Order: sequence, then C-alpha cells, then structure tokens
Amino acid sequence: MIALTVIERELRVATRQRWAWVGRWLPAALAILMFGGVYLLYPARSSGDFGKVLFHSLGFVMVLVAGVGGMLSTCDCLSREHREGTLGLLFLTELSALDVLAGKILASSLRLLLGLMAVVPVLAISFLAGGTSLRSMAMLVMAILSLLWVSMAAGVFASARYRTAGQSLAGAMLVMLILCVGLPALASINETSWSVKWLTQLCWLAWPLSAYGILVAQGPTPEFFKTLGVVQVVSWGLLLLAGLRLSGSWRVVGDGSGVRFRSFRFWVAGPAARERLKRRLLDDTPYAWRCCLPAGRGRLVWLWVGLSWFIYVLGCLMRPRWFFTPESVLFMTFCTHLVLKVWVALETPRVFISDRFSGAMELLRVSLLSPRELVWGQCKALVLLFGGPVLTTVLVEVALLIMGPWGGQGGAFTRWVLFGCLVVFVADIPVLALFCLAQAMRLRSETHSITLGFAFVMVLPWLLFFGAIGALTSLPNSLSQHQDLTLWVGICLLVDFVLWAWSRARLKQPWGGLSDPASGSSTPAS
Amino acid sequence: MSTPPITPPAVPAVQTQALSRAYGEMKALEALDLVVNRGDLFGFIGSNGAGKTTTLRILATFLPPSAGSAFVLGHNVVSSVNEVRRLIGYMPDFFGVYKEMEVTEYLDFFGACYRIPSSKRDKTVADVLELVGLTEKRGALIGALSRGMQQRLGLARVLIHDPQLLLLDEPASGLDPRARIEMMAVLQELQRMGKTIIISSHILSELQSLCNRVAIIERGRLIYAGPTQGIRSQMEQGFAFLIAVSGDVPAALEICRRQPETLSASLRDDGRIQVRLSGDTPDPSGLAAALVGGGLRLTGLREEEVGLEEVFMRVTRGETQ
Ligand SMILES: Nc1ncnc2c1ncn2[C@@H]1O[C@H](COP(=O)(O)OP(=O)(O)O)[C@@H](O)[C@H]1O
Ligand SMILES: [Mg+2]
Repeated sequence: MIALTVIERELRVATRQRWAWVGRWLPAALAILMFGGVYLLYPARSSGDFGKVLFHSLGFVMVLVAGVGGMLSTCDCLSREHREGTLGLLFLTELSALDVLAGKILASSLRLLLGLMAVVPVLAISFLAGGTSLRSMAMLVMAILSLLWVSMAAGVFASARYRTAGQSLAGAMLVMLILCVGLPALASINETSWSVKWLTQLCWLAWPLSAYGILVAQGPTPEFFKTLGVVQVVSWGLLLLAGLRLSGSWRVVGDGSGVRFRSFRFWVAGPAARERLKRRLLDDTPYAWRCCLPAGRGRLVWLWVGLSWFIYVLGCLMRPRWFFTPESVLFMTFCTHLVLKVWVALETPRVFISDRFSGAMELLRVSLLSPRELVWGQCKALVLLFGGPVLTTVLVEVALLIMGPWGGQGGAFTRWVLFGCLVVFVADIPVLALFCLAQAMRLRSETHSITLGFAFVMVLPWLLFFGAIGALTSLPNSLSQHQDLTLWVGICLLVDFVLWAWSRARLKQPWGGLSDPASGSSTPAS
Repeated sequence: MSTPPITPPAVPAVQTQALSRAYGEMKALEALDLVVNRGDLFGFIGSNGAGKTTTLRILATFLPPSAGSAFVLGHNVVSSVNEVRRLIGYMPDFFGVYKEMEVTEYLDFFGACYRIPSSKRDKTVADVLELVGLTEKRGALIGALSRGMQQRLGLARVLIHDPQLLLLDEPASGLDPRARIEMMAVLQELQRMGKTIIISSHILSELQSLCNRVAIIERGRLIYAGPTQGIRSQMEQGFAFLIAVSGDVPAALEICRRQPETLSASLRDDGRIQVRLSGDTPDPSGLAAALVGGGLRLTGLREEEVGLEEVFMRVTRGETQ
C-alpha cells in the first residue's frame, strides 16, 4: 500500500515534534490522577460503586479527548501542506488523493490511539473492581473509536477546505459543533414543530455522542450498533468530500489567493480613509499595518457582534417575554464572549507564524524595527480589529446590568453571574492575546499556539474550579451560590494574572524563536 | 532624518577578523578573514553548504558570530547593530515577499520599516522601481509576478533606504539567462553609483565577468581572495600544454617525461599529450626541440585553456558536502 509511505513520513516528522512524548504519557497520567481522585472521593462506598464511578468518569474524559483531540490532530494536516506547497509534490508522485488522505489520517490517529490505549489499563481497574462488564468495556472503546473517527474526519474535511491553520481549526470546530449541538437542536425543533418521525430518529443516530450516551443510560441495546453505523456513514461522507476537494484543488496552489486579498481596497470607509489609515499606521507602527492585512476581517467581527446584539435588542423590543429574561441575557453573554475569545485566539498568532515561514520575519529583523515594535504592531492591529466590537459588547452588557430584567425570582443572582462573566471577559481578552502571541514566538505551529491559548485561558480555570468544588464539597458546610461564583471569578482572575506575567516575561526575552535562523525557509535540510 | 553615519574613506566596506560560527558541533565558518574594499563588486563563491549564507547573515546582523569580529564600514556588527542596519541592504536567498501585497505597498511598507517619512516615501519607491525596471508593474500583486521580477523587486526593497553596502545572497539562482543578464546589468549600474556589492553564488563563471574581486570559501574556510584574474594563476600548479604528434605517440610521451622542466605528462583520450611545465613563464620551445630531435613530427602545440570552472572544481574537489 502506497499510503504507507505517507504514514512513514508523517510519523518521522511527528517523532521530531516536541509534543510527541507529551501525547504518550499525558493521557495515562490523567487517567491515573482521576483514579486517585475517584478513590479519594468515594472512600466509603463498595468496590462495585467505585468501579462504576471510575468507569463513567474515565469514559467521559476519553470521550472529551477523542472528540477534541481527533479534530485537533488532523485539522492542519492538509492545509499545512497546501500552505507550504508540498501537497502538489505529493500528488506528482504515484499517490492518489485516497492514499494521501489515508496516510494522513492513519498517521494522526496512531498518535492519539496510543494515547487512548494508555488509558485502557486504568479502565481495566474498574472492571476488576466489579463496576462494569467486559462487554460494556468493549462497547465503550467502540463508542470512543467511533467518535474519534468522526472528529478526525471533521478535521480532515476542514483542512482540505482551508489554507490557514486558524481557518481550518475554526472550520473543524464548526463541523463538530453542528454535529454535536446542531443535530440534537434540530431533533428537538423537529419534535416540537414538524414532528417528522424519521428525521428525529436520524438526528439522534447521527449524533456522534449517542453511542456513549446510550451506553451510559441503557447499556447495550440494538440502537447502539445502529448509531455506530450511521456515524460511520457521516464520517465517510466527510472524508469523501475532503477527497473530492483535494483532488480538484491542489493544482491551483498560488492563484486565487491574491484575488481575495484585494478586498483591502474596499475598506468599509472608502479608499481615501483607507489610504489615510495606512499612512498613519506606516509612519507610526508599520508592522501593525501588515498585521491588519488582509483587511475585511475587521468588518466581519463588527458584522457578527453588531448583528447579534442588534437582533437581541430587536427581540427585546418586540417580544420582551422571550428575550428580556435573565436566561436569554446570560445566553447572549455566553455566546458573544465565547465567539470573541475564540476569534481573538485564532487571530493572534496568525501573522507572526506565517511571517516566520515565509521568511519575511528575517527581512524585518534586519530592518530598523525592534522586536518590541513588532510585538506592539501586532497588539495594535488586534486592538484595531477587536477593540470596537469588544467595547460594544462590554457597553451593552453594562447597560443590561443596570436596567436588565433582574426583578423576578433568581434575577438578582443572575445579575451577579453576568457581572462575574463581564469581569472575566475583560480580563481574559488581553491575556488571551498576549499569551497566544508569546506562544507564537515560542512554537512553530499556529494550531499549537491557539490550542494552548484555549487550554490555559479558557479550560484551565474550569478544571481548577471543579477541582476546588470537589475538594470543598467534602467539607461539612458546603458553599452557597454566591461563594461558588466568587470562587470561579477569583480562579479565572488568578489564572489570568499568572499567564499575563508569564507572557510579559516571555515577550521581553531576547527573541530566541524569531532570530532562530532555522525558521527561515532557506535552511538546507541536514 | 536618517542620514547614514559618515565614515572615513580609508575604512574598508567589510572587514572580518577570525570570524567563526558554529551550529552546535557543526562549524559552518572557521576563522574567516575577509576584506572588501569600498566600491567593489565582490563575488563570494562556494559550493552549497560552504558557509556563504552564514557569513552574509552575520554581516546583516541577523546572526551573531560565535567568535571573531566583523565590521561594516567600521561599525561592529554586534555592538552597533542599528548603524550597520542603516548601511546595509540584505537580500536573502529566498524571496520573503508578501504575495498578497501590491508592489508599491510592499516597498512602502519596508520603507516605513526603515523609518523613511511618508513625505519622502512615494518618491523613493518610484525611484527604486525605476532603477530595477519595474515601474509598469507597480500596481501588480506580488504573487502574480514572475520569478525574475520578484527577484528584482527584492533588489528594489534592498535599495529602499539607500544603503552603501548590498549583501545579495544568490540573487541569480533560478533565473533564466535573460533575467540573469538583466540582473547583472542592474548590479553594474549600482556599482557605478558607488555602492559596494557583495554577491554570493555557487557558480564561478556567473561572476567572473561581473566582479572585480572574488573570494572562494569551502567548508567555512577561505581558500582564495583577490582579483578575479588572479584565481587561475594562483590555483593552477604550472601551465599545461597540449601536444599532438603523428607517429609513435608512446615514444613522444617518453621524451616529454624526460624533459627537466616537465612536472607531469599524460596521454589524453583524443590522442594528444598533456604536459605540465614548471616555472612562472614556462617556455615549451625546449620540449618542441626535443620532440623534433627525437624524429617525431610535431603537428600541434598550444597552451591548454583551463576555464575558471575547472579551476574551481579542482580546488574544491571532494570537499563539498
Ligand atoms: N540553522 C542552522 N542550523 C544548523 N546548521 C546550519 C544552519 N544553517 C546552516 N547550517 C549549516 O551550516 C553550513 C553552512 O551553511 P550555509 O551558510 O547556509 O551555506 P551556503 O549558503 O554556502 O550554501 C551548512 O553545512 C549548513 O548545513
Ligand atoms: Mg546559501
């Protein structure tokens, strides 16, 4: 099989990556940690209970890892080759689109599979403790593999579609979001309004998480195997689309891209204002101008934030009973914050990393610009891009805080929640940008920088929070709602502060990452 | 605003003293002593991996040397980084262009990076475009330019802040003959304008008509530095002559070997004899007389033309990586 050559190449590259070793021990370490946690939290129960809890919690973590990790591991595989212009080279050999796809997927999945397999021994403890049967253990593994497969297919699909790492990561996330959230939503809408029976059924069967859900809720049923089949069909559909896209697109490397970038001419304020802005930026911080290219994305952020708040306010005016409630305020807040944070994280490392790969960074580094000015230029561009939308969001939410629908039962507390979210949002955005920037100087990969940004700024506080809650619930007096909220906000701010300090220090260091000559594309392969 | 620092005319454009650079264990550059005078069009020649890029990167302040020192117009490249950066224009061996920018935007941007005020930038950009002959392409997207044009755009970028010293890393690689000749013409024009130019290449013949001085390095060591014409006489041990005789060739070979001034004699595939003679201005008349005296008919005698290419191959033989 020719695909083997691609796999071999991939694996060789993979072992050279710094993260390779982390992937092997981290899942096992996490599993052992969870084992310890469960053991400590359930000391008095029977061993069967212990096994059950362990089984479910480990299963949950594996589902998370498979769902997110599969997507992450594949989402840049083809787009990277596209960017570096090596995809065409692959196709000029005997390889077909299928070979390339298969090679890419197998190589990425091997790494993740090894990681997941490392968890199985710990899972076996739950079996030994009598919490589960061998049969449901096997089924759990099947459910997880199926999820992993879908998630990787989503990544491959997005990476065949897009060129930049950020775009394809966003694309993969969108596909997974549609599958994991959109399908159940569609099912429930269908149930209440159209009640087409087979549609509901199909939605649930195609839902990537249903195999795990069924297993947890009912144990092995015929539905379990049906859903595995349907999910397979969905994944193969995605892969097929990726393959079609791939075999048609690799030829046009290099053109087309230029056309899109010309949109800078149609700056929202017209050519004259654009020219003025360009001059001002170039005289002041030239790199900021470069970081704003290609323009038009600024408008996109505005469009998104403006439109969603506009719809919300319109809704409040027309149907206050639906829209002007504490729940929908919180929902809007949550969505806007999440999207803006994700967007900032996606945007931040893009320019640095692409400039390093194109070699432009080497030219800039021998110009009169200091490293400080480069960092500052990128920060300024981010402010230009996101400043307005973020400020608008904050202002709208402050207005809601002052005169929102806080009268009813539970309203007062929801108001505090909104306040907490706002504080965390204001702290998170700059920290996220700074942290991703520092990562972009350290790492070679856009995806890694973005992922680390997500993990540390957005996920770590929650883990700490749940850990703290778990530890505190064993105390005799458990916490009140308000104390929980304060704890969460406190943890978020603390994490932000630490990350901020780290990033500052990192950005001040001599530019190890950037002046590294090997980062130029010219270095002869040794 | 950013007038280049004034340098006394006696100072050479580039001077390195025992310049070394190692990548881990690998010594890319070992004790390089190089002097480039002002106004030179200096060829820097070596095979792949010889250390040309490393040297130019050090001179461009991009890479710190591990030992030794380097001066550009009297300024140390490590301690006076900003002065040096104002004085040099560095063109790496890859494009480093933004494919999504227009030609003028690109130059405008780099002009701003060199702190040329916006009032002067438009004129400067127009001037350098004129100089490299890209004026009619000013509104084009860089990604849509041909390789030769991108290379000339790179040259325009290098010239944007009017540097005195140009460091060009393999500027002609990948160009077709016509584009190459055009590039060379631009370089000669620049030399006439008084710029010092260092141009690296792994092809000697490319530079032999262009440069007035060359240096050859191999595995990070300097093996020749001086005028272009001097390479041959310095590298060649003795002069070679080609001799054709009719009749008993082995006997003729024997006679040639016996001559006192002969260093070596060998029979070539085409039946002619190649003889190397010692001395600064060797005289083949003794050899001819001996052959005629030996009863052989001399049908041809001429000096062997050894191209620089062959000298270069001989000098660097077996040392390439
Ligand atoms: N960043 C680097 N890391 C390790 N070795 C390098 C690096 N850059 C260059 N080298 C090595 O240094 C030597 C000289 O390289 P270089 O100066 O690029 O040669 P040239 O430009 O003459 O072809 C080569 O053997 C190359 O492999
Ligand atoms: Mg080189």
